[in-house]
Amino acid sequence: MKTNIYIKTTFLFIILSFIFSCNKWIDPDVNIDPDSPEYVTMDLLLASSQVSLAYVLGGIDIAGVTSMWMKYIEGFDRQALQINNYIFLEKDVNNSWTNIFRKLNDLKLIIELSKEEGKESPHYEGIAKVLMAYTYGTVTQLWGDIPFSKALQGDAELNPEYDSQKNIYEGIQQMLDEAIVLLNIDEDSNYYDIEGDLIYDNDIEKWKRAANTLKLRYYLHLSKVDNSVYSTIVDMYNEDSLKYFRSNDDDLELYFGTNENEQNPMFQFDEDRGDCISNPYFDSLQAEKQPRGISQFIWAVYLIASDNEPFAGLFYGSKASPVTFISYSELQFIIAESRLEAGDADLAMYSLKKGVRSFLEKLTIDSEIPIDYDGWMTAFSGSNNIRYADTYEQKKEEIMTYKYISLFLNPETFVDWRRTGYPANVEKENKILPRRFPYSSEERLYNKNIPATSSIFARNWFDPE
Amino acid sequence: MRKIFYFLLIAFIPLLSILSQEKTITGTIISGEDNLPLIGATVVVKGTTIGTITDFDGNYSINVPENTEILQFSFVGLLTQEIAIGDQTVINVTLQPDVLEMEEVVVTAIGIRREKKALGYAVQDVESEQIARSNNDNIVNSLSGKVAGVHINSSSGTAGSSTFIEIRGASSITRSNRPLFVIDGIPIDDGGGSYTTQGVATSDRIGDLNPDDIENVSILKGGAASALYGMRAANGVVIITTKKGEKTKDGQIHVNIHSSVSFKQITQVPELQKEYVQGSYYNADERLPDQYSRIGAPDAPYFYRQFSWGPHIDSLTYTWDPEYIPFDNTYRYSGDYDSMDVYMEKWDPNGRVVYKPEYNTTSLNPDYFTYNPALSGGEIKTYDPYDFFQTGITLTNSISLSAGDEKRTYYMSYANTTEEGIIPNNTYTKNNFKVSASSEIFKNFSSTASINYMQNSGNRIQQGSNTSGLMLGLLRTPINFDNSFGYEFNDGEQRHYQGNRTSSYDNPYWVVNNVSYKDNTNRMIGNIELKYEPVTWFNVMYKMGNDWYHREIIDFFEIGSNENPYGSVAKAHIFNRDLDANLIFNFNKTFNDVFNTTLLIGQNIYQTNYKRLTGLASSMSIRGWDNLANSNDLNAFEASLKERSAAVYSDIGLSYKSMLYTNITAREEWSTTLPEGENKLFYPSFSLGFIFTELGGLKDNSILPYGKLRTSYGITANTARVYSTYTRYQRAATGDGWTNGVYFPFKETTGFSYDSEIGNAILKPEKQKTFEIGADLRFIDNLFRIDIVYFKNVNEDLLIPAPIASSTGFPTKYMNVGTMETKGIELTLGLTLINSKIINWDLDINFDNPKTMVTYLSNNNTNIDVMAEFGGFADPQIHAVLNEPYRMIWGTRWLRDEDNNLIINDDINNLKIGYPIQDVNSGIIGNTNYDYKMGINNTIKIKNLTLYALLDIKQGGQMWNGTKGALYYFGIHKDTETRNTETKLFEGRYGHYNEEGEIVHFNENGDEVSGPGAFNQTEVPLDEYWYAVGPGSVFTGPVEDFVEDANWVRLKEVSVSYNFKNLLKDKILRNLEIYFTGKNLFLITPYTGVDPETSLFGNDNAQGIDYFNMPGVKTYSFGLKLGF
Repeated sequence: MKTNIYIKTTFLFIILSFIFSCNKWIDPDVNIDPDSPEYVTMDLLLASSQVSLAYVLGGIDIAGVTSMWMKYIEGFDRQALQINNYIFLEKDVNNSWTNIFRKLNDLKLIIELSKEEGKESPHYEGIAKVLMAYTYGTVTQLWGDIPFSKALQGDAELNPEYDSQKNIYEGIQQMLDEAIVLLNIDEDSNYYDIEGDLIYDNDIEKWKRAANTLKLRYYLHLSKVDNSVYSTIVDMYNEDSLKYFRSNDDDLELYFGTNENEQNPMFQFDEDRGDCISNPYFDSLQAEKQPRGISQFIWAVYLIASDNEPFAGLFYGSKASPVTFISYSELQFIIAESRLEAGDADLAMYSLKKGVRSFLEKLTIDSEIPIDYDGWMTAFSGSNNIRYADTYEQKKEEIMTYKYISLFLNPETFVDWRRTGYPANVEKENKILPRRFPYSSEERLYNKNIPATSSIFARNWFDPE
Repeated sequence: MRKIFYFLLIAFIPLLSILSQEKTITGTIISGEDNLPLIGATVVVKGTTIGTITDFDGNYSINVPENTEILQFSFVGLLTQEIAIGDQTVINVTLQPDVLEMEEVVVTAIGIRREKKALGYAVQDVESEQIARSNNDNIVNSLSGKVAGVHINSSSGTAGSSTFIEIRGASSITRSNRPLFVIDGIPIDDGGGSYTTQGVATSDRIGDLNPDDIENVSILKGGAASALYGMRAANGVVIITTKKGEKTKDGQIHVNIHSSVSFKQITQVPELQKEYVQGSYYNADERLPDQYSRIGAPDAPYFYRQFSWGPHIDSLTYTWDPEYIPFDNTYRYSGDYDSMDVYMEKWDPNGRVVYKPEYNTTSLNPDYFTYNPALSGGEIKTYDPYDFFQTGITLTNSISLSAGDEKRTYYMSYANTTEEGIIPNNTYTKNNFKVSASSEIFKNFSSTASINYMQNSGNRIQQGSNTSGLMLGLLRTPINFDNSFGYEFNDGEQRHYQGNRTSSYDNPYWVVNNVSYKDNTNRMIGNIELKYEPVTWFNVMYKMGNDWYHREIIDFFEIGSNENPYGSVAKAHIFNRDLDANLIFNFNKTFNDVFNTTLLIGQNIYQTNYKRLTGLASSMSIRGWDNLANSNDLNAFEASLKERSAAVYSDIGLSYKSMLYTNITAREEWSTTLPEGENKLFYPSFSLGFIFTELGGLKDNSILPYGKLRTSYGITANTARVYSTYTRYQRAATGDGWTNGVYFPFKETTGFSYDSEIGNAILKPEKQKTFEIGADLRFIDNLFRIDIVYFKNVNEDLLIPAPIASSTGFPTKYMNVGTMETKGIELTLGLTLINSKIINWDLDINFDNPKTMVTYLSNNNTNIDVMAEFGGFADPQIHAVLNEPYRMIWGTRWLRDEDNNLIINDDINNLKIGYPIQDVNSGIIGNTNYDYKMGINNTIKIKNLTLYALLDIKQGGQMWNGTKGALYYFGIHKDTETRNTETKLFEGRYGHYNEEGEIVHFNENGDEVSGPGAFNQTEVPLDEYWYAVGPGSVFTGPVEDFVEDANWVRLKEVSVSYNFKNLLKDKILRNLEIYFTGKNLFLITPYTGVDPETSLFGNDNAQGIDYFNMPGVKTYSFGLKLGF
């Protein structure tokens, strides 16, 4: 009987303990993910968005495709062969489209955090806006109309409207203007100092120059619809050239690393897939009709520096190679083209030389090959080597060709080709070269507002016939 | 309602007991089956609770009231006999087998044992004997074909791979559709076994069990059957009852030994061409015909080396002429070896492949003329890649001891399985210890406890879309390259058919010797049950189970592998603990032998807690050392998951005579993964069984002695995925679909980003409403049996990370988004063809045809990738598409006009004229779901000889043969053998895309005209241009053409066993049985790849993808069972 009571008491205890512990057992805190931080800071977001944007925009999905079309590289195998043959489908851009907007979303979060009451950090906001403007600029030059003013609203707006490319370019200029204002705000009014800046190592001055330089690039994008942008660019630059990039040190670019998880996207693509080679680019440099001195020189530098690396040489194709968003030499080519178009051919050639020289310096900076820059530059400006200097058209071609060579792998060349028809030799015989990217098939499935056409042969607003 | 009230009223009227004088009756009860004494048979005075059971010799003794008239003798599985006592004091009884098996007891939810006839829903059993005879490592495979409505797909023939199982179709879009596995009343963990596009085939956790420990597997298919399990039971429940100690005579120890050896061989494999060697006709830069580049060899320009588009083998010979240099060595990627002599020997022991002199005249290359006959190496050889596979051997040994007396029983077992697979170095070993004991501690108070320790380990081989994948490297190898000649040079460099180039494919011999994935799982499942039964009609029980495991994984790539050229090792430690506890009150009372009532009230708590720590070392320094210290590039990752639920439940059962049975269950549950305040759920179920043959007019008729109708309705649910109620941040990472990408920490900086998914604070659980109606009919002495079920499941509020427009900033939002409906018929037919004393032939057929349709998807979602959470291929994918069956193959396809004609290219600027054009949009290209499936079980017993054969038929259900699509590109598939002879007229109409993306064609004047034009008249060759430049392969064209029918008819299992039981005079040896079992001995299928019972993603939802999957196997097993 005693045992009976004992057992009964035990059971009662068990029952009661469960009934009373039930509320604690279903504790909402159990459903908090220990692998996700409770909050993130702006420096963590800044570092991650810089790296991710460089990877996506400089990788095979974006730069790789435009580079195949612009004959920097040739896709000869499997899916790359398809793209090389201008078969580029909606499904092929799902990855890049998604990645880009996710990173824009992180930049938006930086902007939100930078406005937190009492912790205002206008410099973070400014940097985020520069990166955002650059990203939207790249996206719109490829896709045309994209979600812009209604994008990045999360589930508050599940079907973001597509803005016209015209409005987007205006929006980008406005964003850069705002960024410049924010970056000019006195440092003391920043609650948080800039950290985690893998591009400029927290140097605000360089961000200001980048914002100003980007403004020129995005004006130039519109040259086909508005001829006056050339003089606008020249005027802006002449007004205060120090506002813009001053040297290669100012280049807006991100250097990758040597560890397995830090490597340059094009290097990784070549390692993992190897479906592209850069032969056509070298071939084009060697071709007879190119200006002799410079092409031979670059050819040599590439080959010697490449050390049998299969892809594009060490400068562009090593583990730690940078992805360049916009460079000092590109600025010089922008100015050269604008000056030529605005009627000052002599100053245009001066800018062209600055562009070429700065590019050479950059290309060989880590090379053990001794380069006599001055010798090369003298040879370059000597009469024998200026082949097309006679007519306006020859000058234009020369500027655009050097720009093409200097902007190896950069999607900007695709804009130049559509604007100016240069580089001239990229079109294949009997094949029509695409003029834009198709929309993402996922976006087509899930956004009611996506435009109907996705043809890669259709023309964007800034690229009329 | 009034009736129920009436039943309840009666339940509370106490019974009057009858007291009077007594007399004693004794006797022996033996079984009519084998004339052996029955231990534990029941003797009851009819109409009372007075009774006893027989002892170890089958003897009984019972004191009965003087006025007793009738004694009832019964034993499970035997016919109950009633005998009028009269003046007898000794009554010996022989109980005959019950052919109707109406007393058959099955285990239902929460471990409740019920007579099968009392159930209002379908439950099907598989007995230990059938499981043992099937002789599979993984018990799930042993259920295949034996249960209607259960779809089983073993994912591959490699040692220790996982198995897909789904009951009554799918109920969730992206969450697991695997059933809940319950062992002895406690749910256990069943993770693991789902793979990505690349990697290895790992085991699922249900495969940890020792099949010889299993007494019975009972499958609860519908919601009413499993409603008591609530949240985790929406996919059905597999209830496993393990063997327990039984009462033995004088507490004697019974020993059972089971030993078997199995031999495995590969079954069907893709057919390869045997006529054309390595090389290509097309030039890398322009992909134009180029005679100069024809012969590929390891030192050829690398682009040509990957292909088998080279010359015909008849035109070639070997040479040892060192002068022979067929290619322009200034090419950037040519070999960098000191001497061609060494080089040639290194790569091919027979010498270099060159044209025979008589073929040289056609060559454009003057170098071809330098052939020197004196240095000839002889006729060129071809190699069969499938020689790579070996006969796999599995050894299984198990021993169990059991004993028991009135108060206590125990059971102990040990089992070991050692398997060497069909692939060298693919191993799997498994050890299993189990101890269980039960005892009556005090009067009416008993306890049962068991501990099961499991250990298994294996070495698994890389598979799938992976440059170190075994089949990928093996099948792409040209016929003139002998992988087996050597896989490694003295300097450690790998020898593979593409030479020294990186980003090619590993030699399969190199892979099995240098790339390893070793895992080791240690697992302990402990159960304890305390039961207090003060009176026969009431007991209370506390049951707790703890399932703990630790897994260690060492994923190693040697330096020089193509997948990780600098070498890497990832070490992972996984800890998982599941806790489940139940407190159950049980009431059971019979009134007037007419009404029986049962009431169960229970409470349950559950927790699962998972942690994973991974260290990854890249860029290794020392060859062959799989240690994290072997690198300066280290990264660490952690993942954890914790989830809890609590519930109260009850089950009320009422029955009237042996005729009418009803059951009502209810469960209320709380889950931590649901939003706070909205985390409560209620699941009711109702079932009714009516044995109409108990009705007056139908009773004891000889044509239909047993007939039952049943129906049930129930609700179950799936809870939300953990951590989905809010938007999270994650360690930043970016990739592009081709490369490994980048992740943080990056250059010593930490980085975070938003998660890709918007969390959702207004989640509801997925809810499943199930209805079923069925009949169980047995005709003419049980010679013909039919059990038919119609069921319909409606799964509402399906939760998925629903894809949304990425331009919102997030590619997905976790939300309730859809509804799926599954309908189907399950039919079990039993036919006793011969029933004599000597021969008995039973034919049992299981048939099912579940069809799951996606009936509603909200919020722009018409189309969902079921692999989205885990990563699959970009093309094709397995999708849930609105108004289509679940699991459609979604991918790129040919362009067609409105009348479904192919559009055939007429634009010379695009593709060659006469070839079809690819559609820019993807769509449905196949259906992975089967129409019906049938398992035909034949059991023939001739005295002690048992013959068993299981024919498995699957009709419908397609599979994507990506292997074929890739082998087309490389020119190695059999279909490409006709490259120089076959032409094809693609049926369709001329046209192409214009700049606006519309279909247009050229008229006679060369102007573009809207719509498609005339029917195609251009016959085109199916040559290298078509397969490797044009759209004829998966890499260069749409994936549509590689969807194939995967019907099959297979001899799933055949076995012969002989039991010497009756011949054994020696009492020490109780049992002796020998058997042979063969599996998959024949297979008929239109599928041209490996055995279509395969899945690249293992047991994951995305079924129907084959991309260099490992081949399936046929098995020959020989076994011996001994009992002492």
